[in-house]
Formats: sequence, C-alpha cells, structure tokens
Amino acid sequence: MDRALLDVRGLRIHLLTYEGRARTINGVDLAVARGESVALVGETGCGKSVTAKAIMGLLPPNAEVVSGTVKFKGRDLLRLPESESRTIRGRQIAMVFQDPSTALNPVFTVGEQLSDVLVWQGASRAVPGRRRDGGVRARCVELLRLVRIPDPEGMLSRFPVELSGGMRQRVLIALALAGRPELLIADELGTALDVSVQDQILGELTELVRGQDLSVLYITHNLGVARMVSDRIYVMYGGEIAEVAPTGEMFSRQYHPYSQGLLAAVPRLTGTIGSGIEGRIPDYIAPPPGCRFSPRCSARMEVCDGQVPPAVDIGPGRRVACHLYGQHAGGG
Amino acid sequence: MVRADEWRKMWFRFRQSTLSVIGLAIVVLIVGAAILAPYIAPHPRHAGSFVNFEASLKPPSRTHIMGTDDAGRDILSRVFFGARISMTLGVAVLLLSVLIGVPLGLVAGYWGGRLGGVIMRITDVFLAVPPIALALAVTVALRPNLTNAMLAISFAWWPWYTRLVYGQVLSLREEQFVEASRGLGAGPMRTAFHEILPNVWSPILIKATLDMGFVILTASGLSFLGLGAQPPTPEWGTMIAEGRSYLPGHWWTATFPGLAIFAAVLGFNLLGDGLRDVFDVHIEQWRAGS
Repeated sequence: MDRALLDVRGLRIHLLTYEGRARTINGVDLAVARGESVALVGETGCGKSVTAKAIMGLLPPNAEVVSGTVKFKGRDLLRLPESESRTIRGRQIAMVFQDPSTALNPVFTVGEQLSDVLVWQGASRAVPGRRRDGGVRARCVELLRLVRIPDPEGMLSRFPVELSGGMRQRVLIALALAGRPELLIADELGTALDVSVQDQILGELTELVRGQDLSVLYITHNLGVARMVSDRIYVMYGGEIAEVAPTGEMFSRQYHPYSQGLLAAVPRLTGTIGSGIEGRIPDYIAPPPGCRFSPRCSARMEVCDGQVPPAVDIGPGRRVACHLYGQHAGGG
Repeated sequence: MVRADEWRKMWFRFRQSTLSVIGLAIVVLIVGAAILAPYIAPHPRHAGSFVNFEASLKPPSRTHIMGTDDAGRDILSRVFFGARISMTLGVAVLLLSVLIGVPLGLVAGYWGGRLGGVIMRITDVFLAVPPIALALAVTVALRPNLTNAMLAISFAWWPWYTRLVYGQVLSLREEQFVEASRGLGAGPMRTAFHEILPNVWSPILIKATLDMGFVILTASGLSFLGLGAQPPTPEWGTMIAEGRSYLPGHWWTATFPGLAIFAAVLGFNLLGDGLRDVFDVHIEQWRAGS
C-alpha cells in the first residue's frame, strides 16, 4: 500500500439530526492505490455513501467531521478551502451517480451537458457562448464513444428523457470522465438498471478503467458486483470497516462474522436461498458501546459488549476488526 | 438547443386542445393589431387628440364598424392602438417582475439561510396586499400617467415570481443532477444559474402568459379610475371611463373597449393553459422516469 492515491485515516463523521447526534462514520481507514479498483461493500445505511460524499467534499450541511483525514495525493481534502476542493472535484476525483434517471439535467441535451462540463472545467479554451466549438464537439463524441454509445454524433442532440436507463448511465460515466480524473467514485453504479444491462456496463467500465489506468472506488451493497469489478474489498458495517481483503481471498475465506453472514446471504445458483443475518443496522445515535455488530453476531463473546475491537493484520493485505482474532482470541 | 422535431412535438401536444388553439388565435390577433395598428386602422389619426364633433357618437356602421366616441373618433382605430399600449405595458410589467422576482427567488431558494429568510419575509409582506390596491397606492403617490402605472403594477407584481421560483428551487435543489453537477466541480453560482434556473423557465413562461391578461386588466382598471393613461390616450380602460357617461344610450363607446379587455384576458389565459399542457407533459414524463 505504498504511495496510495487516496488515503482515508480514522475518519469520524457525525450527523446532527432531530433525534440527536448520529455517530454515522466511526473511524474508517481506507486506501486506494493508483490503478486499483476498490469496492466498499455493506448493507444500506452502513455509511458507504456518507464516506463517498466526505471524499468528494459533498457532505450535507448537518454533517460534522469529528476527526480523521482524507488525503488525496498527499493533500488533506477535508481541510481544503471550498474554492480549491472545487478544482479537485470533476478534474481529479469524479463521481458517477447512482440514479441515472435523475442525475442528468432534464432540460439540456446530452451534448449541452457534456460540452458544458468540458468548458467549465477548462478542458477547452472556448468561451461558454461558443459551445459549438469544433474541439469541444470532437471531445464530446470521443467521450461518448469511450463509453460505447452507438451513434455518438446523434446522441449529442438527445434529451435525457429520450434515453434508456443504460444509455443514461453511460452518459453519466462519460460526464465523470470528461475532466480526465484519476479517481472515479461509483456510487451504486447501475443498481437502478436491469441486471443484464448493469452487468454489461460494469464490464465495460472495468475494461475502460484498466485501459486508462484509472483508480476506482465502487460503493455497492452487492457482493456479486464487488467480485466482478474490484481488486480489493472493504466490508463496512455500522460506520466501521469490518474487514479488508483482496477480492479473491475474501471470497475464499472470510474472517469477520459479518462478512461470513454477508456471503452466506447471497443466493446460489444451486437453488439454496441465502441464510441472511438476523437483526437490523445499529442505532447510530446510541450505538452499541463495544463492537457495533455484536447484537447481531452469532459468535458474540463477553468482551464484544464492552470493547471496540481493534483492526488487526491477519494476513498479507488482510485486516479484520473482530475480537475473535485479537488478543482475546480463544484459540488462534 | 431544441431541435425542429421537438418543436413539432410541442405543437402537436398544444393542438390537442381546441381551447388552447383559440387562445393562441386571439393572442395572435391582438398582437397583430398592436403591431400593425398604424397600417390597418381605418383612421389612424383618430388615435390621438383628433376631434370631429359632426361625427360624434355615431352608432356602428359600415364606415365606423365600432361606432364613434363623443369627439367623433373611430372606436375601432382606437381599440387597435389600445392593443399597442396594453401589449407594451403588459410585456414591460412582466419583464420587470421577472427581472426582479426571479433572481430574488433563486437566491432565497438556493442559498437559503438568513438572507433567504429576509427576502421571503419581504415578499410575504407584498403578497399580503392585493396587487391592485398596492398599485393604486403607488400611482396615487406618483403622477398618474402610463409609465407610472407600469411601474406601480410591476412594484406589486414581482413578489409572485419570487414565490414561484422559490418554491421550484426548493424542490429542484434536492434533485440529484444538482449534486451531480457539484460533483463535477461546478460552483454555487454555476449550479444555481446554469443548472437550476433553466428548469424553472417553463413555469415562469406559463405564469407570465397567464398573468399577461391580468396585468392588462389591472392597468385598464387603474386607467379607468383615472390613475393610469390619461385622455386622449386610446387606452382601453380610459376609453371605458370616457364612454361610461354615454351609457346605455350610446352603448358602443364603452362596450367595444370592454370586449377588447375581455378578449385579451381570455386569450392569454387559454394560451397559458395550453402552454402548461405542453410543458408539464414534458416534466411529468421525466419525473416518472420513463
């Protein structure tokens, strides 16, 4: 993990809500190396999206960063002034948004949206009034071709409402790529699409990412997706990283009981239905004092209720935060 | 830019309602009369202070289709020139209202906070007073003439646009494409004026069209009370005020300018409804995520 492109350390974020202070992100460590694809996996409400928004600098106004750093190429994004973090968004870190039906502006054509982004990001010297500038147009077509949109020329004059979900998702990827970012954050990419279309788009994106030497952080609740696209997997639970492992190893052996449960919940082709995990995500306002997963854990011990499990190295590139593997481990 | 087939689609949707087409026809007639008044009016000179007492108060006939008024002026010609005044005034009032009201609503809705609160409370105070009463108060304070009537009505009218835009922006602000544009590096000005504002233009256009009739009605009301255009200006409200004393015997003096106001209000309302059908379909289709 030398020379990480993105390095999140000890990130703690609280959301101030009507019900009280929600301790949503509780010490997240996460790193993405150059050219690496990383998946952040967890169930709905585990804090994946808040983590992504913190990296993008798009936290809602009621979010408070309590501690931690988000270093991108050595610079701490959380402490940059807004004017500077704006130059990073889109140009160095770009986000592919999850819902293709609402993430495009309905009143502009695809070409207008693409060229707009190109112009404001300064990719072209053209002044906004001269959007029909040939260079910008050529770059728009190139971007649409990159995301495999058939007839990119014709696509430029289409409105989002005229496109299928898959096409819109492709346009969103093209928009994210417009600023030639080094890190792409894909939030639940394709979740709103048909499974077959999602598969196709993820496949294409993976290929594209390899070809362009991009780093990607996939945010997903779907382990199947994570397996398909990522090099490493972070399993997140209750605002904490439960386990980290290279993708292949994660699927051959899981250490954290939550990862085990998550994998067991995946339905198999053999016809057996996944077993699932009992219970619900923790209450963030009054979280369990020890391990946040303990109330749902099948391997729960006494120590789990009182102490937060520290993350321990358990193999090359593997870390797990569970008392089963710390100094309290019974056998090994 | 909107392509040609997009226009054809809109026109198709617009045509689905006969009433909309009637509204459009009325508006085209009135606008046509306004633009072409000096060429199509049978007696263009009658628009001003022309006097011919020999022809005074003649009933409608072949030479004077709408009859003549007390000074012997051809009412049809004056109604044509009146269209000119009403259109200019209506467009000016709405332009001013949009120019003042829309940016305020956008700022209040997008940035919110204390500034937004202050803007909206001021707006609420204006909205609490009926526009005609507010306009009356302003014209009384100023000298009664056409320009001041226009300023007075604008003064009473802008808060409606602030309110409209404010509400729209509040909901648009939460749309994902707004966050997406920020995620691509757009600043707040860019997001507000280039991403959100274009989404508000169609409700603004619809409201402005519907309002056009009411602005004309309000202006005529002020003129009728002697607080707007002054005689011999061929303003419709002024003409009614002048013709009122000859009712009911010389009914044509007040009736035809009145019918002109009626037609303008009706025409713009029907047209506005038609536009709403065209644009809302666009938006609903999108919202349904089809």
